[in-house]
Formats: sequence, structure tokens, C-alpha cells
Amino acid sequence: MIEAYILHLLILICIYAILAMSLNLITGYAGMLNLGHAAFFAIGAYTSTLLVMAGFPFWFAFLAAAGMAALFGVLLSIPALRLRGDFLAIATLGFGEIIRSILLNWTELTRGPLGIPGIPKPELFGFEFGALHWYFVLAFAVTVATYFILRKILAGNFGIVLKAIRESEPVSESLGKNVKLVKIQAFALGACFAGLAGSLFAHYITFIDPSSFTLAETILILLMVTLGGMSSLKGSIAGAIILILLPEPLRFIGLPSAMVGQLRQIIYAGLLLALILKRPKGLFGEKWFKGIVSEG
Amino acid sequence: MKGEIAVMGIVLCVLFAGCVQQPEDETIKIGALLPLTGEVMIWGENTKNGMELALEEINKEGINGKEIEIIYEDSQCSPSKTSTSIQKLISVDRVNVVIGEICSSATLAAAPIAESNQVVLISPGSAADSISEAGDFIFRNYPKNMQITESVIEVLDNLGRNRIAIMYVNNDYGISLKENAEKIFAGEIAIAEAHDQKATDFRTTLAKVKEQNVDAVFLATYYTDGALILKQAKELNLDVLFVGPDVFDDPEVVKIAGNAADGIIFSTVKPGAGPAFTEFSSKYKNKYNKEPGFLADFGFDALNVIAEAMRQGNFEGEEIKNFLYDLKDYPGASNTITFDSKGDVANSALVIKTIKNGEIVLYEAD
Repeated sequence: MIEAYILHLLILICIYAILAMSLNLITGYAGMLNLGHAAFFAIGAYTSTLLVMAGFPFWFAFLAAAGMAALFGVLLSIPALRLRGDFLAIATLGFGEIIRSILLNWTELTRGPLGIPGIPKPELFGFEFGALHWYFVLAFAVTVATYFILRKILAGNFGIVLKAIRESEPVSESLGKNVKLVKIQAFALGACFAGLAGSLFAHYITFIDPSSFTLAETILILLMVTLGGMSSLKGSIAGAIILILLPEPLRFIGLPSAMVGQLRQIIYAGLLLALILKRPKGLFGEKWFKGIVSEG
Repeated sequence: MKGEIAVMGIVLCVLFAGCVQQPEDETIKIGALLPLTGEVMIWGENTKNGMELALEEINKEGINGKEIEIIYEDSQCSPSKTSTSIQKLISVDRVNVVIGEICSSATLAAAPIAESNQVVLISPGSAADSISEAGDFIFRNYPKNMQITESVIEVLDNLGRNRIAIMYVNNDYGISLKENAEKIFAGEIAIAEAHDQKATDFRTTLAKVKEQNVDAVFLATYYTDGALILKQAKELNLDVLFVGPDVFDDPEVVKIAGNAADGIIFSTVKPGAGPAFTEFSSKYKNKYNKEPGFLADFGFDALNVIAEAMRQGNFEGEEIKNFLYDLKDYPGASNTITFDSKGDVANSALVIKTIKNGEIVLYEAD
């Protein structure tokens, strides 16, 4: 029986690891602070849900979720090209809120705040991933694939250009790199994987509503990236593992029932603070060279 | 690196140590999923107070010599946190019954997990109509929105109002009331305007409503925004009949709206004068030194019907489920409880009340 609980946590870890890795690509590697990541997560979740509910097969909905999220990634990157730093953060924050508002108010399509209950479990070629362990296999496979695909991409030229842009856009441009195109690609790629995570989330929880995709969700993912370390995929996975598991032992301490909720929150926050103070760069963080090469 | 691995090792160790340690069951465990922190923590708190009060009485006698132990999980009204919490309650604490959640979206996320593990889930506060279809093991002792809407619409029909406006809060609760009204109201709905749950200024909407010259306004709101609407309507000289759901059955409404609250007609479940409620209310005041807040009586009843099932020897999910479907006219504090085939409280005894000179009184048609 206890395996069910552990499997559940492992599935959540997989979903959040994908999210953290995809955000790390945008924020850690390319240095663009993205506060609207939960929107891509939401777009993936809703796209996949609505398509499956409309009778499309899961594999199609799963890929469409990635495609739709990537499309929105490109859309967001257009205004984002002109912005950097704090301004970019505000623009992405706005984007996240816009998507949430649309999901909340376009009730004919999304049922708005009522949410969509009874999302079917995924089925691939006649095999249903209904049981927890099979769902874990699916989520784990997607996570591993995400890790290796991103590692391959980021270890190559693309990754180096991304880091160069992060350190200094003018220098990268002067070396003949197409900064705009690379930024668009980074957003699209990050969004695409967040979309996949959204699809996995929707079919696992089997209920989605806009309240699952708020700014708090983005902050949680960003925290995973920061805690694990910027521009480290392994770090993002570690960040997801820690932040999903950290609240769990607190359930077993046997706190007095009078203030169990509040005490857990306080302990959780305290542990987080301690971790960040101990390792300000994150567990597997890489040093940024900003400050050595000055901005134009 | 070593440091990091050590930290993660410790985290994992604590996790598994917590899981492995499982003493002999000397108590009967019941799970509770409530928003104990966050925006709606007050509802979680009220429900918990009600449950604690019931627990005290139940454990005085015990059940087969055993005490009931409630394991509270803070699910924060969030679907994903709720799914983790109920998974933990079911697979680690091995509970057969879970009381919760309050928020409909969270209850809907917990429902499939409860259903597939044959664990009874009983919500003391979720009103969304879709919960009726959530599964055989899913119950609620809170009336669903449709019942409330029907009774409000009946009031309008009896008074011969056939052109109304709806002002609703833009969340699952408000929308579901509004959609129900659109479905069953035979007259014309001239205008339906949404507002944010935290909105405080309704003058623009009220001006629009005033232009429409309607016979009545249906407030599908909570008590704070609803009371503010009443107050601002009076300021705008909008003299029209207001009707609303059970949330107006709260002295706070009069506190906020003052004499503008006079005249609103609403449908509510609280028997108010019923003996079970009076008894509950006085015990509650004794223990907590305040009036029972919204949902406290529902939490109290939810735990009591479960205890009743266990007193009669039903401990497994399946047995408790069957007991609940067979339960007839249980005299609860919130209501007389009989579950229908969907696990909803069948024909909740609704009463129509109104506010007269700052007092909540039973409504009598003149």
C-alpha cells in the first residue's frame, strides 16, 4: 500500500523535473527570467485534455500539447526579444496572468473555474496507463527522454550560444550569432517540454482548473531551478526531488493538531532558507561570468 | 557534492523512517483534508473545530473500546496538493474514510483516488454539481448548488418576478449557481454580470442593473461581496428585491450592510431552531467561546455519521459506503441527513429566510 504513496511522489517528481529542466533552459542557460512558465504548463494540460476529451488518441494529444505550448513560446518570445532583465520578468509575468485569465473566462472551452473533471488515463496502442506503476513508467520515460534530448542540445553549439547570450548579447552579436533566433528557439523549446509536463499532469491528476497554474506554481518551479543550480539539468532534477519530498516528512512528525498546517509551513520555509543559505548558487550551480564581461 | 548527497540522504531517510514506523492500530484512523492555511483557511478552521467537538463526544464512550483519531492534512484548497494528501492518507495511514475537501476543485481531484481505493470521501463543504457524478464512494453532507438554486427560483416564481438580473462571483461556486438559474428560470434574465471574489466596488455593475429595470436581482455571491452589493445598491437608490443562496444566513451580512440588508430573501439549510443545532451551538460556544462559524456544523455532522457507521460495526470502506446509502433521517446539526443514490443529501430541508430590521427571520409570504 505504501508503494502507492511513494509512486505518487515519484510521478510528481518526474513531472516537476521536466518543468524545472525546461525552465532552466530559458532562465538558467539563456538567462531570461521567465515568470510565466506555469502558463506553458497550463497550455499543455488544457490542450491535451480537450483533445483527448474530443476523442483524439493520447499520443496525438500529448504531441499537440507540446506543439501548442511551443507555439505560445514563440508568441511570447516576440515581445520578449526587446526586453531583458526585470522588464522581461514583468512581461512574462503578464503573459502568465493573461493565459490564466483566458482559461478562467473562456468558459465555453475550458469550463472556466469549474475545471474539467474525469480526464481519462492515457492509452497508447491499446495499453492503458491506469495503474500507478505504469503511469510512473510513462512519466519516467518522458523525463529521461527530456533529460537526454536537452543534454544533447545544450552540450552542442546551441548551448554555448545560449550561454554567450546570457553573459553578453552585444558580444554574441558581434561574433555573428543570430541572437533573436536563438532566443525564440530557447523559448519554444522550453515551452514545448513544459507542455509535455502539462499533459502528463492533467492525465495523472484527472482534474484540471485554472487554480493549478498560478504564479505560485511558477515560483515553485523557479525555486527548483535555483535550488538545484542554474544551467544544470541534474540540478533541476535534484531541485524537483528535494522540493517535492521536503514537505512530506513533515506529515509524519506528529505535530499537535491545533496548528498542524501552519507549523508545517514554517518548518518547510525554514528548511528551504537553510538550504539556500548553505548553497547560494544552488546544489549543482554553474558560475555566471556576468560582471567580468560587462554589458555593452 | 558530498554535502548535497548527504542532505538528500537525510531527507530520504526521514521520509522513509516516517513511513516505516507503524505502531499497532490502537485507534481508528480517519483522514481529514482541509484548507488549514491559505485564503480559505477560515472554512478549514471552522470545519475542524466542528469535527474536534464531535470527536470529543465520540471518544468519551469510544467505539468498541477504541478511540477515533483524526489525521489532518493541509490540502490548501489545491487540486494537486489534495491528491498528494489523500494518497498519503490512504496508503500510509490506511484510512478507510476521509472527510474533505471544502473547495469543489480539490474534492474533484481527490475523488478518483478515493474511488479507486474504495475509500469513502465525504465532503462537508463542496457545492459543485459535478461532484454528484464523481463516484459511488463520494458523499457530501453539504447541499449541492442545484437544490439551493431551485428553491431560490421558486421564491421568484411565487412572487411573480419574471425579469431578473444575476450578479455572480467568478468562480466554480458562482458560475454553477448562475448556470443553474439560467437552466431553470422560466422568465427572462436581462443581465448576468460576473465579479472577482475579492471585488469591493460594485457600483458600475449596479448602475447597469438599474438601467435594465429588473424585478429582482439574484446574488450568486459569498456573504462579504453580497453584503457590499446590498449596501452599495442602497446608496445608488436601487430599490429592487434581492434574493440569494444560504451564505446570507450569517449575522455578518447585517454587520457589513447595516439596514441595507433588510428585505433580502434567501434559501438556507440551517434549521436554526432545530434541537440538534441548538445543542451543537451551545456546546460549540462552551468549547470555543464563539458562535459556530460557516461549515462548523457540517464538519460536526460528517464525523458523527461516520462514527455512527462504526458503532454499528462498519469499518471497511465498502461497509461504510453501504451504511451511508442506507442511512435514513439522521438528525444532524446542519440538516436531517439522508443520502440519495448519488451520495448527495436528499431533499435537504431548505427554509426561506429574510432579514427584517437587522434580524434574520423566517420568511412568510404576505
